Amino acid sequence: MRWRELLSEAWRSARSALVATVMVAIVVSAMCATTGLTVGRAIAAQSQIEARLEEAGSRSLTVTDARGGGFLTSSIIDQINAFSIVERAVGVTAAFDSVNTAIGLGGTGVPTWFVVGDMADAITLTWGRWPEPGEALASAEAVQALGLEVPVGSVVQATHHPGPGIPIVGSFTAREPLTHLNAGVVGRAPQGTVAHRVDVLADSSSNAVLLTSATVHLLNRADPQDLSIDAPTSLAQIETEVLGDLADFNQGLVVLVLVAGAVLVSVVTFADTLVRRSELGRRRALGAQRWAVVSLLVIRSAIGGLVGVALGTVIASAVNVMAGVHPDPAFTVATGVMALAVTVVASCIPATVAAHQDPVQVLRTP
Amino acid sequence: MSKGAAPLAVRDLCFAYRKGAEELFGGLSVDFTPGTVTALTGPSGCGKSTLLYILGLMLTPTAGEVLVEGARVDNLPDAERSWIRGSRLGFIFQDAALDPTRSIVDSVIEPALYAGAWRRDMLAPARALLEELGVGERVDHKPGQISGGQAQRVAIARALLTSPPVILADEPTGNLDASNTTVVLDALHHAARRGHLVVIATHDPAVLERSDAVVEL
Ligand SMILES: Nc1ncnc2c1ncn2[C@@H]1O[C@H](COP(=O)(O)OP(=O)(O)OP(=O)(O)O)[C@@H](O)[C@H]1O
Ligand SMILES: [Mg+2]
Repeated sequence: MRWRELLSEAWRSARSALVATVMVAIVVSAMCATTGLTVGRAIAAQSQIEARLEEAGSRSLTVTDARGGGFLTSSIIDQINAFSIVERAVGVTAAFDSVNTAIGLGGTGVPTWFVVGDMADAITLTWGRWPEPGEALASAEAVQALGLEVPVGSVVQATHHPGPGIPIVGSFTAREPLTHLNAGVVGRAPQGTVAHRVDVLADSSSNAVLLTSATVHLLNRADPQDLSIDAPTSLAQIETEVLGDLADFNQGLVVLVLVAGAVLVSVVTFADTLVRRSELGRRRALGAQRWAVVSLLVIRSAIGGLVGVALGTVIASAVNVMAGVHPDPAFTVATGVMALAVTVVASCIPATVAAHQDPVQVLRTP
Repeated sequence: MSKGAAPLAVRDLCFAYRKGAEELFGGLSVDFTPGTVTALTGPSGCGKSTLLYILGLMLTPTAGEVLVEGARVDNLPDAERSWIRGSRLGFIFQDAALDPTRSIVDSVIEPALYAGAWRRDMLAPARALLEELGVGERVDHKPGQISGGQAQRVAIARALLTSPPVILADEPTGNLDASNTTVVLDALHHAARRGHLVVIATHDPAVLERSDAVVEL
Protein backbone atom coordinates (compact mmCIF):
# COMPACT_ATOMS: atom_id res chain seq x y z
CA MET A 1 0.00 0.00 0.00
CA ARG A 2 1.31 3.43 -0.89
CA TRP A 3 2.24 5.70 1.98
CA ARG A 4 0.14 8.59 0.78
CA GLU A 5 -2.91 6.38 0.39
CA LEU A 6 -2.17 4.91 3.82
CA LEU A 7 -2.07 8.40 5.34
CA SER A 8 -5.34 9.50 3.76
CA GLU A 9 -6.90 6.17 4.75
CA ALA A 10 -5.73 6.78 8.34
CA TRP A 11 -7.11 10.29 8.25
CA ARG A 12 -10.54 9.10 7.03
CA SER A 13 -10.44 6.31 9.53
CA ALA A 14 -9.56 8.67 12.40
CA ARG A 15 -12.60 10.75 11.51
CA SER A 16 -14.94 7.79 11.23
CA ALA A 17 -13.64 6.28 14.51
CA LEU A 18 -14.33 9.63 16.14
CA VAL A 19 -14.91 8.31 19.67
CA ALA A 20 -11.52 6.60 19.84
CA THR A 21 -9.74 9.55 18.26
CA VAL A 22 -11.34 12.00 20.69
CA MET A 23 -10.55 9.75 23.66
CA VAL A 24 -6.89 9.53 22.65
CA ALA A 25 -6.87 13.30 22.15
CA ILE A 26 -8.33 13.85 25.63
CA VAL A 27 -5.84 11.50 27.30
CA VAL A 28 -2.89 13.09 25.51
CA SER A 29 -4.07 16.63 26.16
CA ALA A 30 -4.49 15.75 29.85
CA MET A 31 -0.93 14.39 29.79
CA CYS A 32 0.46 17.60 28.27
CA ALA A 33 -1.63 19.90 30.43
CA THR A 34 -0.77 18.16 33.72
CA THR A 35 2.91 18.16 32.89
CA GLY A 36 2.85 21.78 31.77
CA LEU A 37 0.87 22.94 34.79
CA THR A 38 2.84 21.09 37.47
CA VAL A 39 6.32 20.27 36.31
CA GLY A 40 6.52 23.19 33.87
CA ARG A 41 5.68 25.53 36.71
CA ALA A 42 8.03 23.84 39.15
CA ILE A 43 10.83 24.13 36.61
CA ALA A 44 10.05 27.81 36.07
CA ALA A 45 10.19 28.30 39.86
CA GLN A 46 13.38 26.28 40.01
CA SER A 47 15.13 28.37 37.38
CA GLN A 48 14.05 31.48 39.29
CA ILE A 49 15.67 30.13 42.46
CA GLU A 50 18.73 29.18 40.47
CA ALA A 51 18.96 32.65 38.96
CA ARG A 52 18.66 34.19 42.42
CA LEU A 53 21.36 31.86 43.72
CA GLU A 54 23.68 32.85 40.92
CA GLU A 55 23.26 36.53 41.72
CA ALA A 56 26.46 37.85 43.23
CA GLY A 57 25.10 37.99 46.80
CA SER A 58 24.98 34.27 47.36
CA ARG A 59 28.38 33.50 45.89
CA SER A 60 30.39 36.36 47.30
CA LEU A 61 32.78 36.03 50.21
CA THR A 62 34.20 38.93 52.22
CA VAL A 63 37.46 38.61 54.13
CA THR A 64 38.28 41.44 56.54
CA ASP A 65 41.62 42.14 58.20
CA ALA A 66 40.03 42.42 61.65
CA ARG A 67 43.08 43.59 63.62
CA GLY A 68 44.99 45.55 60.98
CA GLY A 69 47.52 42.76 60.42
CA GLY A 70 48.29 44.12 56.95
CA PHE A 71 48.27 40.70 55.28
CA LEU A 72 45.77 41.49 52.49
CA THR A 73 48.50 42.52 50.06
CA SER A 74 48.10 42.85 46.31
CA SER A 75 50.09 39.64 45.86
CA ILE A 76 47.64 37.72 48.10
CA ILE A 77 44.75 39.17 46.08
CA ASP A 78 46.45 38.02 42.86
CA GLN A 79 46.79 34.53 44.34
CA ILE A 80 43.09 34.41 45.24
CA ASN A 81 42.27 35.60 41.73
CA ALA A 82 44.27 32.68 40.38
CA PHE A 83 41.85 30.10 41.88
CA SER A 84 39.91 28.49 39.06
CA ILE A 85 36.62 28.77 40.95
CA VAL A 86 37.07 32.54 41.44
CA GLU A 87 35.37 34.91 39.05
CA ARG A 88 37.07 37.99 40.52
CA ALA A 89 38.62 39.17 43.80
CA VAL A 90 39.29 42.75 44.70
CA GLY A 91 40.61 44.49 47.82
CA VAL A 92 39.72 47.90 49.19
CA THR A 93 41.27 49.93 51.98
CA ALA A 94 39.24 51.08 54.96
CA ALA A 95 37.06 54.08 54.12
CA PHE A 96 38.08 57.60 55.11
CA ASP A 97 36.19 60.86 54.67
CA SER A 98 37.37 63.36 52.10
CA VAL A 99 36.15 66.78 51.00
CA ASN A 100 36.40 68.90 47.86
CA THR A 101 39.85 70.55 47.96
CA ALA A 102 38.41 73.76 46.46
CA ILE A 103 35.76 74.10 49.21
CA GLY A 104 37.80 72.82 52.11
CA LEU A 105 36.58 71.48 55.45
CA GLY A 106 33.24 73.28 55.15
CA GLY A 107 32.26 71.01 52.27
CA THR A 108 30.30 67.75 52.52
CA GLY A 109 32.46 64.74 53.29
CA VAL A 110 32.25 61.65 51.07
CA PRO A 111 33.55 58.18 51.89
CA THR A 112 36.73 57.35 50.00
CA TRP A 113 38.51 54.06 49.35
CA PHE A 114 41.59 52.89 47.53
CA VAL A 115 41.30 49.73 45.42
CA VAL A 116 44.05 47.14 45.72
CA GLY A 117 44.07 44.89 42.65
CA ASP A 118 42.40 45.45 39.31
CA MET A 119 40.03 48.44 39.52
CA ALA A 120 37.96 47.04 36.64
CA ASP A 121 37.03 44.12 38.95
CA ALA A 122 35.37 46.56 41.36
CA ILE A 123 33.90 49.30 39.21
CA THR A 124 32.90 50.26 35.69
CA LEU A 125 34.28 53.48 34.21
CA THR A 126 31.40 55.69 33.03
CA TRP A 127 33.16 58.98 32.28
CA GLY A 128 36.75 60.23 31.96
CA ARG A 129 39.76 57.92 32.14
CA TRP A 130 41.10 55.21 34.43
CA PRO A 131 43.12 56.83 37.28
CA GLU A 132 46.87 56.44 37.76
CA PRO A 133 48.04 55.32 41.26
CA GLY A 134 47.04 58.08 43.67
CA GLU A 135 44.29 59.40 41.41
CA ALA A 136 40.57 58.67 41.85
CA LEU A 137 37.07 58.48 40.30
CA ALA A 138 33.92 59.86 41.87
CA SER A 139 30.49 58.22 41.70
CA ALA A 140 27.55 60.26 40.43
CA GLU A 141 26.36 60.57 44.04
CA ALA A 142 29.80 61.78 45.19
CA VAL A 143 30.06 64.27 42.31
CA GLN A 144 26.86 65.86 43.55
CA ALA A 145 27.87 65.77 47.22
CA LEU A 146 31.23 67.35 46.44
CA GLY A 147 29.54 70.16 44.49
CA LEU A 148 31.37 69.38 41.23
CA GLU A 149 29.80 70.16 37.87
CA VAL A 150 31.71 67.40 36.06
CA PRO A 151 33.76 64.63 37.70
CA VAL A 152 36.99 66.56 37.44
CA GLY A 153 38.74 68.22 40.37
CA SER A 154 40.39 67.08 43.52
CA VAL A 155 39.52 65.82 46.99
CA VAL A 156 41.52 65.81 50.17
CA GLN A 157 41.34 63.51 53.17
CA ALA A 158 39.41 65.51 55.81
CA THR A 159 41.86 64.67 58.62
CA HIS A 160 44.86 65.68 56.48
CA HIS A 161 43.51 69.07 55.32
CA PRO A 162 45.07 71.04 53.79
CA GLY A 163 47.52 68.28 52.76
CA PRO A 164 48.09 66.94 49.21
CA GLY A 165 44.90 66.39 47.15
CA ILE A 166 43.75 63.32 45.28
CA PRO A 167 42.92 64.25 41.64
CA ILE A 168 39.48 63.18 40.35
CA VAL A 169 39.74 62.07 36.69
CA GLY A 170 36.34 60.59 35.93
CA SER A 171 33.25 58.83 37.17
CA PHE A 172 32.21 55.19 37.81
CA THR A 173 29.48 52.84 38.93
CA ALA A 174 30.34 50.00 41.28
CA ARG A 175 29.97 46.33 40.29
CA GLU A 176 28.38 43.58 42.36
CA PRO A 177 29.06 42.85 45.18
CA LEU A 178 30.81 46.18 45.93
CA THR A 179 27.77 48.40 45.42
CA HIS A 180 28.52 50.27 48.65
CA LEU A 181 31.31 52.02 46.71
CA ASN A 182 28.60 53.93 44.82
CA ALA A 183 28.37 56.32 47.77
CA GLY A 184 31.80 57.86 47.31
CA VAL A 185 35.22 58.23 45.72
CA VAL A 186 37.41 55.32 44.64
CA GLY A 187 41.10 55.75 44.02
CA ARG A 188 43.80 53.54 42.55
CA ALA A 189 45.98 52.52 45.48
CA PRO A 190 49.62 53.62 45.41
CA GLN A 191 52.20 50.77 45.20
CA GLY A 192 52.44 48.73 48.41
CA THR A 193 49.07 49.65 49.85
CA VAL A 194 47.42 46.77 51.74
CA ALA A 195 43.67 46.20 51.68
CA HIS A 196 41.38 46.22 54.70
CA ARG A 197 38.93 43.82 53.12
CA VAL A 198 38.80 41.58 50.07
CA ASP A 199 35.57 40.74 48.24
CA VAL A 200 35.74 37.44 46.36
CA LEU A 201 33.11 36.24 43.87
CA ALA A 202 32.94 32.49 43.22
CA ASP A 203 32.00 31.27 39.73
CA SER A 204 28.91 29.55 41.17
CA SER A 205 27.09 29.43 44.47
CA SER A 206 27.86 25.74 44.86
CA ASN A 207 31.56 26.57 44.99
CA ALA A 208 31.17 29.15 47.78
CA VAL A 209 32.00 26.65 50.56
CA LEU A 210 35.08 25.38 48.80
CA LEU A 211 36.21 28.93 48.11
CA THR A 212 35.93 29.90 51.78
CA SER A 213 38.14 27.08 52.97
CA ALA A 214 40.64 27.63 50.15
CA THR A 215 40.94 31.30 51.05
CA VAL A 216 41.36 30.64 54.76
CA HIS A 217 44.00 28.07 53.92
CA LEU A 218 45.86 30.51 51.65
CA LEU A 219 45.89 33.31 54.24
CA ASN A 220 47.19 30.79 56.78
CA ARG A 221 46.74 32.95 59.91
CA ALA A 222 47.85 31.32 63.15
CA ASP A 223 45.21 33.22 65.10
CA PRO A 224 41.71 32.86 63.63
CA GLN A 225 40.74 36.13 65.34
CA ASP A 226 42.86 37.97 62.74
CA LEU A 227 40.24 37.28 60.11
CA SER A 228 36.59 38.01 59.88
CA ILE A 229 34.83 36.10 57.14
CA ASP A 230 31.38 36.80 55.85
CA ALA A 231 30.04 34.07 53.55
CA PRO A 232 26.43 33.07 52.78
CA THR A 233 27.58 29.50 52.20
CA SER A 234 25.11 27.76 54.47
CA LEU A 235 22.26 29.43 52.59
CA ALA A 236 23.69 28.32 49.27
CA GLN A 237 24.04 24.78 50.57
CA ILE A 238 20.46 24.55 51.76
CA GLU A 239 19.14 25.95 48.52
CA THR A 240 21.20 23.52 46.46
CA GLU A 241 19.76 20.62 48.45
CA VAL A 242 16.22 21.89 47.99
CA LEU A 243 16.81 22.18 44.25
CA GLY A 244 18.04 18.60 44.09
CA ASP A 245 14.88 17.36 45.84
CA LEU A 246 12.74 19.42 43.51
CA ALA A 247 14.44 18.01 40.40
CA ASP A 248 13.91 14.42 41.65
CA PHE A 249 10.26 15.13 42.35
CA ASN A 250 9.75 16.64 38.88
CA GLN A 251 11.32 13.67 37.14
CA GLY A 252 9.14 11.28 39.13
CA LEU A 253 6.02 13.20 38.24
CA VAL A 254 6.82 13.34 34.51
CA VAL A 255 7.45 9.58 34.43
CA LEU A 256 4.21 8.92 36.32
CA VAL A 257 2.15 11.10 33.97
CA LEU A 258 3.70 9.55 30.86
CA VAL A 259 3.22 5.98 32.09
CA ALA A 260 -0.40 6.64 33.06
CA GLY A 261 -0.97 8.25 29.66
CA ALA A 262 0.64 5.31 27.86
CA VAL A 263 -1.58 2.82 29.69
CA LEU A 264 -4.73 4.82 28.90
CA VAL A 265 -3.82 5.25 25.21
CA SER A 266 -3.14 1.50 25.02
CA VAL A 267 -6.48 0.65 26.57
CA VAL A 268 -8.39 3.05 24.32
CA THR A 269 -6.66 1.74 21.19
CA PHE A 270 -7.23 -1.85 22.27
CA ALA A 271 -10.94 -1.24 22.91
CA ASP A 272 -11.14 0.44 19.52
CA THR A 273 -9.60 -2.57 17.73
CA LEU A 274 -12.14 -4.83 19.47
CA VAL A 275 -15.04 -2.67 18.40
CA ARG A 276 -13.71 -2.56 14.84
CA ARG A 277 -12.71 -6.21 14.50
CA SER A 278 -14.86 -6.70 11.43
CA GLU A 279 -13.33 -3.65 9.74
CA LEU A 280 -9.80 -4.94 10.35
CA GLY A 281 -10.79 -8.46 9.26
CA ARG A 282 -12.25 -7.07 6.04
CA ARG A 283 -9.09 -5.10 5.33
CA ARG A 284 -6.94 -8.21 5.84
CA ALA A 285 -9.26 -10.36 3.72
CA LEU A 286 -9.07 -7.82 0.90
CA GLY A 287 -5.28 -8.04 0.89
CA ALA A 288 -4.06 -5.44 3.42
CA GLN A 289 -0.72 -6.54 4.83
CA ARG A 290 -0.06 -6.65 8.57
CA TRP A 291 2.28 -3.69 8.51
CA ALA A 292 -0.40 -1.67 6.72
CA VAL A 293 -2.99 -2.51 9.40
CA VAL A 294 -0.50 -1.71 12.20
CA SER A 295 0.51 1.58 10.55
CA LEU A 296 -3.11 2.49 9.97
CA LEU A 297 -3.99 2.05 13.65
CA VAL A 298 -0.84 3.77 14.90
CA ILE A 299 -1.24 6.75 12.57
CA ARG A 300 -4.88 6.97 13.59
CA SER A 301 -3.82 7.21 17.25
CA ALA A 302 -1.08 9.66 16.36
CA ILE A 303 -3.68 11.93 14.73
CA GLY A 304 -5.64 11.92 18.00
CA GLY A 305 -2.35 12.43 19.82
CA LEU A 306 -1.46 15.46 17.71
CA VAL A 307 -4.82 17.07 18.41
CA GLY A 308 -4.30 16.28 22.10
CA VAL A 309 -0.81 17.78 22.18
CA ALA A 310 -2.07 20.97 20.55
CA LEU A 311 -5.03 21.17 22.93
CA GLY A 312 -3.04 20.36 26.08
CA THR A 313 -0.26 22.78 25.23
CA VAL A 314 -2.71 25.60 24.55
CA ILE A 315 -4.57 24.92 27.82
CA ALA A 316 -1.40 24.72 29.92
CA SER A 317 0.13 27.80 28.30
CA ALA A 318 -3.07 29.82 28.70
CA VAL A 319 -3.41 28.93 32.39
CA ASN A 320 0.29 29.56 33.02
CA VAL A 321 0.21 32.94 31.30
CA MET A 322 -2.87 33.94 33.29
CA ALA A 323 -1.06 32.90 36.47
CA GLY A 324 2.00 34.88 35.39
CA VAL A 325 4.25 31.82 35.11
CA HIS A 326 6.46 31.47 32.04
CA PRO A 327 7.80 27.93 31.66
CA ASP A 328 10.70 27.28 29.33
CA PRO A 329 9.42 26.94 25.71
CA ALA A 330 11.95 24.14 25.19
CA PHE A 331 10.27 22.24 28.03
CA THR A 332 6.83 22.76 26.47
CA VAL A 333 8.05 21.48 23.10
CA ALA A 334 9.79 18.51 24.74
CA THR A 335 6.58 17.63 26.59
CA GLY A 336 4.62 17.64 23.34
CA VAL A 337 7.14 15.52 21.49
CA MET A 338 7.33 13.06 24.39
CA ALA A 339 3.53 12.80 24.66
CA LEU A 340 3.29 12.07 20.93
CA ALA A 341 6.06 9.46 21.15
CA VAL A 342 4.25 7.82 24.06
CA THR A 343 1.01 7.72 22.01
CA VAL A 344 2.76 6.02 19.10
CA VAL A 345 4.57 3.47 21.25
CA ALA A 346 1.49 2.74 23.37
CA SER A 347 -0.74 2.14 20.35
CA CYS A 348 1.84 -0.12 18.65
CA ILE A 349 1.10 -2.98 21.05
CA PRO A 350 -2.70 -3.25 20.57
CA ALA A 351 -2.27 -2.51 16.85
CA THR A 352 0.14 -5.42 16.45
CA VAL A 353 -2.20 -7.71 18.38
CA ALA A 354 -5.11 -6.67 16.16
CA ALA A 355 -3.10 -7.24 12.97
CA HIS A 356 -2.40 -10.82 14.06
CA GLN A 357 -6.05 -11.75 14.44
CA ASP A 358 -7.37 -14.44 12.15
CA PRO A 359 -9.44 -12.67 9.47
CA VAL A 360 -11.51 -15.80 8.86
CA GLN A 361 -12.87 -15.97 12.40
CA VAL A 362 -13.67 -12.30 12.23
CA LEU A 363 -15.46 -12.66 8.89
CA ARG A 364 -17.49 -15.62 10.15
CA THR A 365 -18.84 -13.74 13.18
CA PRO A 366 -21.17 -11.06 11.94
CA MET B 1 6.05 -21.38 -12.62
CA SER B 2 5.55 -23.95 -15.27
CA LYS B 3 3.96 -22.79 -18.48
CA GLY B 4 0.36 -23.78 -18.96
CA ALA B 5 -0.12 -24.63 -15.27
CA ALA B 6 -3.59 -23.88 -13.91
CA PRO B 7 -3.87 -20.40 -12.34
CA LEU B 8 -5.21 -22.16 -9.28
CA ALA B 9 -5.09 -25.77 -8.11
CA VAL B 10 -5.15 -27.83 -4.92
CA ARG B 11 -3.29 -31.11 -4.37
CA ASP B 12 -4.12 -33.79 -1.74
CA LEU B 13 -5.85 -31.20 0.39
CA CYS B 14 -6.81 -31.89 4.01
CA PHE B 15 -7.87 -29.41 6.63
CA ALA B 16 -8.94 -29.47 10.27
CA TYR B 17 -9.74 -26.36 12.27
CA ARG B 18 -7.72 -27.76 15.15
CA LYS B 19 -5.89 -30.91 16.10
CA GLY B 20 -8.31 -33.77 16.54
CA ALA B 21 -11.22 -31.87 14.96
CA GLU B 22 -13.14 -33.41 12.07
CA GLU B 23 -10.91 -33.62 8.99
CA LEU B 24 -12.31 -31.95 5.85
CA PHE B 25 -11.77 -32.69 2.12
CA GLY B 26 -9.96 -36.06 2.54
CA GLY B 27 -7.12 -35.42 0.09
CA LEU B 28 -8.98 -33.35 -2.49
CA SER B 29 -7.17 -32.49 -5.77
CA VAL B 30 -8.71 -30.04 -8.25
CA ASP B 31 -7.36 -27.98 -11.16
CA PHE B 32 -9.53 -24.95 -11.67
CA THR B 33 -9.84 -23.93 -15.31
CA PRO B 34 -9.56 -20.31 -16.37
CA GLY B 35 -12.50 -18.95 -18.33
CA THR B 36 -14.99 -21.14 -16.46
CA VAL B 37 -17.29 -20.92 -13.48
CA THR B 38 -16.70 -23.75 -11.03
CA ALA B 39 -19.29 -24.41 -8.32
CA LEU B 40 -18.34 -25.92 -4.96
CA THR B 41 -21.32 -27.65 -3.50
CA GLY B 42 -22.30 -30.09 -0.79
CA PRO B 43 -24.32 -30.21 2.40
CA SER B 44 -24.08 -27.48 4.99
CA GLY B 45 -20.96 -27.88 7.11
CA CYS B 46 -19.04 -29.86 4.48
CA GLY B 47 -16.44 -27.11 4.19
CA LYS B 48 -17.40 -25.01 1.15
CA SER B 49 -16.54 -21.73 2.86
CA THR B 50 -13.46 -23.31 4.40
CA LEU B 51 -12.15 -24.34 0.98
CA LEU B 52 -12.68 -20.81 -0.31
CA TYR B 53 -10.73 -19.37 2.61
CA ILE B 54 -7.92 -21.82 1.88
CA LEU B 55 -7.95 -20.83 -1.81
CA GLY B 56 -7.98 -17.21 -0.59
CA LEU B 57 -4.81 -17.95 1.44
CA MET B 58 -6.48 -16.98 4.72
CA LEU B 59 -6.35 -20.53 6.08
CA THR B 60 -3.39 -22.89 5.74
CA PRO B 61 -4.10 -26.55 4.85
CA THR B 62 -3.10 -29.19 7.39
CA ALA B 63 -1.90 -31.37 4.52
CA GLY B 64 -1.57 -30.89 0.78
CA GLU B 65 -0.79 -27.77 -1.24
CA VAL B 66 -2.36 -24.77 -2.91
CA LEU B 67 -0.75 -23.89 -6.24
CA VAL B 68 -0.99 -20.60 -8.08
CA GLU B 69 0.27 -20.95 -11.66
CA GLY B 70 2.07 -24.10 -10.63
CA ALA B 71 3.91 -22.52 -7.69
CA ARG B 72 3.15 -23.53 -4.14
CA VAL B 73 1.77 -20.57 -2.17
CA ASP B 74 0.12 -21.95 0.99
CA ASN B 75 3.44 -22.02 2.87
CA LEU B 76 4.51 -18.48 1.97
CA PRO B 77 4.91 -15.89 4.74
CA ASP B 78 1.88 -13.81 5.63
CA ALA B 79 3.11 -10.68 3.85
CA GLU B 80 3.40 -12.51 0.53
CA ARG B 81 0.07 -14.29 0.93
CA SER B 82 -1.54 -10.91 1.65
CA TRP B 83 0.09 -9.54 -1.46
CA ILE B 84 -1.26 -12.38 -3.64
CA ARG B 85 -4.67 -11.94 -2.04
CA GLY B 86 -4.69 -8.25 -2.88
CA SER B 87 -3.30 -8.47 -6.39
CA ARG B 88 -4.29 -11.86 -7.85
CA LEU B 89 -7.50 -12.81 -6.03
CA GLY B 90 -10.89 -11.17 -5.86
CA PHE B 91 -13.08 -12.21 -2.92
CA ILE B 92 -16.87 -11.92 -2.74
CA PHE B 93 -18.47 -12.60 0.65
CA GLN B 94 -21.95 -13.86 1.37
CA ASP B 95 -22.91 -10.58 2.95
CA ALA B 96 -21.27 -7.97 0.77
CA ALA B 97 -18.96 -6.88 3.68
CA LEU B 98 -18.73 -3.28 2.50
CA ASP B 99 -17.21 -0.58 4.69
CA PRO B 100 -20.20 1.45 5.94
CA THR B 101 -18.05 4.60 6.19
CA ARG B 102 -16.82 4.77 2.59
CA SER B 103 -18.79 5.62 -0.51
CA ILE B 104 -19.71 2.94 -3.05
CA VAL B 105 -16.96 3.96 -5.43
CA ASP B 106 -14.37 4.03 -2.62
CA SER B 107 -15.53 0.58 -1.48
CA VAL B 108 -14.80 -0.73 -4.94
CA ILE B 109 -11.33 0.81 -4.91
CA GLU B 110 -10.35 -0.51 -1.44
CA PRO B 111 -8.49 -3.74 -2.38
CA ALA B 112 -6.71 -1.95 -5.23
CA LEU B 113 -5.21 0.41 -2.62
CA TYR B 114 -3.84 -2.54 -0.63
CA ALA B 115 -2.35 -3.86 -3.87
CA GLY B 116 -0.44 -0.60 -4.32
CA ALA B 117 -2.65 1.37 -6.73
CA TRP B 118 -3.35 5.10 -6.51
CA ARG B 119 -6.93 6.03 -5.69
CA ARG B 120 -7.10 8.70 -8.41
CA ASP B 121 -6.06 6.14 -11.09
CA MET B 122 -8.82 3.78 -10.00
CA LEU B 123 -11.76 6.20 -9.85
CA ALA B 124 -12.65 6.11 -13.54
CA PRO B 125 -12.41 2.29 -13.96
CA ALA B 126 -14.42 1.83 -10.75
CA ARG B 127 -17.19 4.10 -12.03
CA ALA B 128 -17.22 2.33 -15.40
CA LEU B 129 -17.45 -1.07 -13.72
CA LEU B 130 -20.30 0.05 -11.45
CA GLU B 131 -22.08 1.44 -14.52
CA GLU B 132 -21.67 -1.91 -16.25
CA LEU B 133 -23.18 -3.71 -13.23
CA GLY B 134 -26.16 -1.36 -13.16
CA VAL B 135 -25.31 0.62 -10.00
CA GLY B 136 -23.71 3.54 -11.84
CA GLU B 137 -26.02 6.18 -10.40
CA ARG B 138 -25.22 5.08 -6.82
CA VAL B 139 -21.46 5.68 -6.83
CA ASP B 140 -21.49 8.44 -4.21
CA HIS B 141 -23.94 6.75 -1.83
CA LYS B 142 -22.92 4.89 1.31
CA PRO B 143 -23.52 1.10 1.56
CA GLY B 144 -26.31 1.81 4.06
CA GLN B 145 -28.25 3.60 1.34
CA ILE B 146 -28.48 0.79 -1.23
CA SER B 147 -30.35 -2.54 -1.40
CA GLY B 148 -28.84 -5.96 -0.66
CA GLY B 149 -28.79 -6.89 -4.35
CA GLN B 150 -27.05 -3.64 -5.21
CA ALA B 151 -24.57 -4.16 -2.38
CA GLN B 152 -23.69 -7.59 -3.74
CA ARG B 153 -23.11 -6.07 -7.19
CA VAL B 154 -20.83 -3.49 -5.59
CA ALA B 155 -18.94 -6.36 -3.92
CA ILE B 156 -18.55 -8.00 -7.32
CA ALA B 157 -17.23 -4.77 -8.79
CA ARG B 158 -14.75 -4.63 -5.88
CA ALA B 159 -13.55 -8.16 -6.69
CA LEU B 160 -13.26 -7.42 -10.42
CA LEU B 161 -11.66 -3.97 -10.38
CA THR B 162 -7.99 -4.96 -10.56
CA SER B 163 -8.94 -7.72 -12.99
CA PRO B 164 -7.47 -10.51 -10.83
CA PRO B 165 -7.07 -13.90 -12.58
CA VAL B 166 -9.05 -15.64 -9.82
CA ILE B 167 -12.42 -14.68 -8.35
CA LEU B 168 -13.69 -16.50 -5.26
CA ALA B 169 -17.33 -16.07 -4.23
CA ASP B 170 -18.91 -17.48 -1.06
CA GLU B 171 -22.69 -17.87 -1.51
CA PRO B 172 -22.91 -14.63 -3.52
CA THR B 173 -26.59 -15.23 -4.20
CA GLY B 174 -27.49 -16.54 -0.75
CA ASN B 175 -29.46 -13.46 0.24
CA LEU B 176 -30.82 -12.47 -3.17
CA ASP B 177 -34.12 -12.88 -5.02
CA ALA B 178 -34.36 -14.51 -8.45
CA SER B 179 -33.84 -11.37 -10.52
CA ASN B 180 -30.86 -10.20 -8.48
CA THR B 181 -29.44 -13.71 -8.62
CA THR B 182 -29.59 -13.50 -12.40
CA VAL B 183 -27.80 -10.14 -12.45
CA VAL B 184 -25.04 -11.40 -10.15
CA LEU B 185 -24.60 -14.66 -12.08
CA ASP B 186 -24.54 -12.77 -15.36
CA ALA B 187 -21.75 -10.60 -14.00
CA LEU B 188 -19.71 -13.59 -12.80
CA HIS B 189 -20.21 -15.49 -16.05
CA HIS B 190 -19.34 -12.40 -18.02
CA ALA B 191 -16.08 -12.22 -16.06
CA ALA B 192 -15.41 -15.91 -16.80
CA ARG B 193 -15.99 -15.31 -20.51
CA ARG B 194 -13.29 -12.64 -20.35
CA GLY B 195 -10.82 -15.20 -19.00
CA HIS B 196 -11.20 -14.99 -15.23
CA LEU B 197 -11.28 -18.12 -13.18
CA VAL B 198 -14.44 -18.04 -11.06
CA VAL B 199 -15.09 -20.33 -8.07
CA ILE B 200 -18.47 -20.13 -6.35
CA ALA B 201 -19.37 -21.92 -3.11
CA THR B 202 -23.12 -22.46 -3.25
CA HIS B 203 -26.11 -24.69 -2.68
CA ASP B 204 -28.32 -22.56 -4.93
CA PRO B 205 -29.70 -24.73 -7.81
CA ALA B 206 -29.82 -21.64 -10.05
CA VAL B 207 -26.07 -21.28 -9.66
CA LEU B 208 -25.33 -24.97 -10.10
CA GLU B 209 -27.42 -25.13 -13.25
CA ARG B 210 -25.41 -22.42 -14.99
CA SER B 211 -21.89 -23.36 -13.82
CA ASP B 212 -19.39 -24.99 -16.16
CA ALA B 213 -18.01 -27.43 -13.58
CA VAL B 214 -19.22 -28.67 -10.20
CA VAL B 215 -17.03 -29.94 -7.36
CA GLU B 216 -18.97 -32.04 -4.84
CA LEU B 217 -17.49 -31.92 -1.37
N1 LIG C 1 -13.31 -21.68 13.62
C1 LIG C 1 -13.78 -22.94 13.57
N2 LIG C 1 -13.36 -23.85 14.47
C2 LIG C 1 -13.80 -25.11 14.42
N3 LIG C 1 -14.65 -25.58 13.52
C3 LIG C 1 -15.11 -24.71 12.59
C4 LIG C 1 -14.70 -23.36 12.56
N4 LIG C 1 -15.32 -22.76 11.53
C5 LIG C 1 -16.08 -23.70 10.93
N5 LIG C 1 -15.96 -24.85 11.56
C6 LIG C 1 -16.58 -26.12 11.16
O1 LIG C 1 -16.03 -26.54 9.92
C7 LIG C 1 -17.00 -27.13 9.11
C8 LIG C 1 -17.04 -26.50 7.76
O2 LIG C 1 -17.55 -25.20 7.85
P1 LIG C 1 -17.87 -24.30 6.59
O3 LIG C 1 -18.31 -22.98 7.03
O4 LIG C 1 -16.72 -24.39 5.67
O5 LIG C 1 -19.08 -25.10 5.96
P2 LIG C 1 -19.97 -24.72 4.70
O6 LIG C 1 -19.85 -25.87 3.78
O7 LIG C 1 -19.58 -23.40 4.19
O8 LIG C 1 -21.41 -24.65 5.33
P3 LIG C 1 -22.66 -23.71 4.90
O9 LIG C 1 -23.22 -24.29 3.68
O10 LIG C 1 -23.58 -23.82 6.05
O11 LIG C 1 -22.11 -22.34 4.70
C9 LIG C 1 -18.32 -27.03 9.89
O12 LIG C 1 -18.58 -28.27 10.51
C10 LIG C 1 -18.06 -25.97 10.89
O13 LIG C 1 -18.79 -26.20 12.07
MG1 LIG D 1 -20.46 -21.48 4.07
